[in-house]
Amino acid sequence: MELLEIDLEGGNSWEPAAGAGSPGPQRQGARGRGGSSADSLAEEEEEEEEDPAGRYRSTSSLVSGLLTELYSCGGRARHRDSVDSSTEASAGSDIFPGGRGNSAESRFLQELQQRPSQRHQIEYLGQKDADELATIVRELNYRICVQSAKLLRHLKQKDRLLHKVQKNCDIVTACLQAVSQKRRVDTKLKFTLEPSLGQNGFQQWYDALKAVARLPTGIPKEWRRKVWLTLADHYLHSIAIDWDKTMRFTFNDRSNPDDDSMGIQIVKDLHRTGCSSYCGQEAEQDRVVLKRVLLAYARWNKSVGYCQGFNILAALILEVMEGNEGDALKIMIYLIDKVLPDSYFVNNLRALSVDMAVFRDLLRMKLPELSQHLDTLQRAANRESRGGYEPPLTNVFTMQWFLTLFATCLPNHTVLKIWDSVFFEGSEVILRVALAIWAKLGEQIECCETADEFYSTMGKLTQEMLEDNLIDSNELMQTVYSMAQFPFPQLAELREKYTYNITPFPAAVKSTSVSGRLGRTRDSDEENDLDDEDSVANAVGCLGPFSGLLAPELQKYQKQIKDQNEEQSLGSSNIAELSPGAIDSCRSEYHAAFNSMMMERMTTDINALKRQYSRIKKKQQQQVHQVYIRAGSEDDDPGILLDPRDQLNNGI
Amino acid sequence: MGTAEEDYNFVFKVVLIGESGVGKTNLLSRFTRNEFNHDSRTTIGVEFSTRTVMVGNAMVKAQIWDTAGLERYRAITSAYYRGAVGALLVFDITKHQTYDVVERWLKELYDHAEATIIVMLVGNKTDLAQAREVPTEEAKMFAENNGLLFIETSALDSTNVEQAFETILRDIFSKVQKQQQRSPQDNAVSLSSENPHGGSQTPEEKRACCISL
Repeated sequence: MELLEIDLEGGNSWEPAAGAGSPGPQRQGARGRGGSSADSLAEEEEEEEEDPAGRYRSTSSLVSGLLTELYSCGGRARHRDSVDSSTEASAGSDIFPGGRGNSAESRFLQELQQRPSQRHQIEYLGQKDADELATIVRELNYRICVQSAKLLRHLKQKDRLLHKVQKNCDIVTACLQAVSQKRRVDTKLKFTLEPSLGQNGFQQWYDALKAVARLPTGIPKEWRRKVWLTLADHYLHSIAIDWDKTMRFTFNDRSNPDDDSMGIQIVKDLHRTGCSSYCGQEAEQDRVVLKRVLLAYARWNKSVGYCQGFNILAALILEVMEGNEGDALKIMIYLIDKVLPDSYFVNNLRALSVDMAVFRDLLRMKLPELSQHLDTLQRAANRESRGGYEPPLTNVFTMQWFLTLFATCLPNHTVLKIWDSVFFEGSEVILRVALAIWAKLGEQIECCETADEFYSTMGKLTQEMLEDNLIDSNELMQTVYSMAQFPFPQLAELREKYTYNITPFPAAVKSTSVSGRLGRTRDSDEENDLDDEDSVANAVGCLGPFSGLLAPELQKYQKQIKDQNEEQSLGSSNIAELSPGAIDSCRSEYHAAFNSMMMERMTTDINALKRQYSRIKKKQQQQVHQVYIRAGSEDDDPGILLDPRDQLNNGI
Repeated sequence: MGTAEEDYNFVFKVVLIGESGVGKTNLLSRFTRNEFNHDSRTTIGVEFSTRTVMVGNAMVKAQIWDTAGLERYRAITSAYYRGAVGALLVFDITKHQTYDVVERWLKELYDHAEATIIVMLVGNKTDLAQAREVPTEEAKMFAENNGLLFIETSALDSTNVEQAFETILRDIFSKVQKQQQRSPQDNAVSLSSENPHGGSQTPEEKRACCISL
């Protein structure tokens, strides 16, 4: 019964004793406690030696017990004991009326308390005759009863409160189940404030809090810190981290050889979080803490280190963690290492680029009209600037939204709600939120007639989103949860596709030499198209995913451009006019630049290729395994299972 | 800016590049909003701002792309170099390191942008004259040798900010004009006569600037 850990207020409390009313158990109880106090135990033994007469033994132990009672009365305030409240209750009510208001008894006790040491007290008690001792015992019993009753009241109150908490938790559970989708898992929801012990306990807590986060009100802000920490702690526990050691290492005051370059960048960015509380003289201390957290994360995860944007994330995390740097580090680790996709902030922000591309596909699926409109604007911009190139229009915004998890584009209370959701539902929430925002802005965007107009409009809208609550957080989150089931259908496949799909080289690269003044032939047109297509495809720096295995839209687009160019070339009598000198002269340079870009991409892609290869290999192994199993090889001979793998390895 | 924002004959895309912390964002905010903020947020990826100015007899809308200086953002931000007709390559005159890497930035830019892009080297933070580490002459020489425009600015006290942007826009503009004179039939835009009311232009006309540099 954990409810019995009790904090009795003040020094006037008496140690609760089992069966306080009757002398027998009282003595036992006293003896037990005597054991806990080395002094009194020693006294007791001493006395036994001094006084060999057996009949005194009970008296001396009684004395010792009494002394312990007296001691504990003035001493410790916190006790740990077990009490059977029912017996105590009856005992208390029996004894209560007796022995009250006897001044002689009080006098004895007072005198006893005045003795300077335990030895003197023993002497004092030794001088008393049996009657007097009996009086003292009565008095003590009386006082014990009073305290017991008090304790009992507290216990009952605590019990009541616990029941109330339990009941409230049950109500929350009922509410959660009522608003849930009533799937089988939902019926198992059970709300608790903290995870109970064991993996199941955590899961139960996690599911319930996840459901709370889905409510329109979300996670109450008073809970946030604890909830985030519970999640982070669980993650750190799962990867078997010695946190104290980690803290010592990451927050070490001595600088680390790796720190230098990172430290410089971190210091540059401390006052540039966009959060006013880190600016100015008076925020010096806050900046020091922010720096320590950022440096700590960089030391913790050297491969990620520090990335601009972390300053913004950490500033907000520190706010939630009330400035506790260790807690903030935990959340940083949980967020960046666990929740967000790998390589979100490293390797040229590869995973981020992937998500930007994935997002455009999701936009196409969920908001086809808007997506089409944006594509049209981009295409138009590309067409008009020929040699130039317009990146996908959404990129500017999604890049920033994703990197700072919306901290730079929405008000803090909305951002925190989103983060709650990201922590519980995973990184797909980021894509969902982005979709919800575009859906909300869609109407105004569809009015834009050019890419330029689009950017201007978005400039205004993003300002309004941040400052004027253009987006209602409840509405936003409801859209986020209702737009698709969890996990988002096809998301995993799309992410995989854009992460591992390697773009085949377009033929254009080989024909660089063709370009130049001669080159305004049909071939050259095609080449141009390929470039255009590729520029769309590779909209995102290191990404080379779309082309080759083009989405039908892109193929249509390619065709469209080709048609247009054909029309142009047919319609014009003077081919040279179509390609003014400036274009041709820069064309080969353009191709050179393009080639170098492709080379870069290729090297970037090689790692991805390797990863993809190892995955394919793994899949093959699994398949081989399955084949073996299906072929009826009943005994699990590891030799058989290893064989195909060896063959695979040899075949490489 | 009001209605002036809507009426323009050209859109010029200009990128701001250079090391982290040299003051790109403040140069931009000084030019487009006449604001300066010591604690402006770090640029994440790419951000943009616009301002329409009169160049010669035409209204030019400068669409300025502010890029993050941090190395690992480069793969993403370089995509925005490609459509640009101008670039301001900014360094901090009080930090020699930011000047040392100008050449690398230039290469990066030419790797991704059109070869005809007009580049201006900008030494920012002249208000911190006492902490100067890069002599004006040195930077000027480098700019001349590499065919770059050159100017020194202070976003803090507004010195030369306006001039910097105006100079590069004028240069781009005259290049566009020359282009048009060379191939008049090809280009739909004729500055003096055909676009008397800029606001009603078709998108193609507005964008004509970017066509054939």
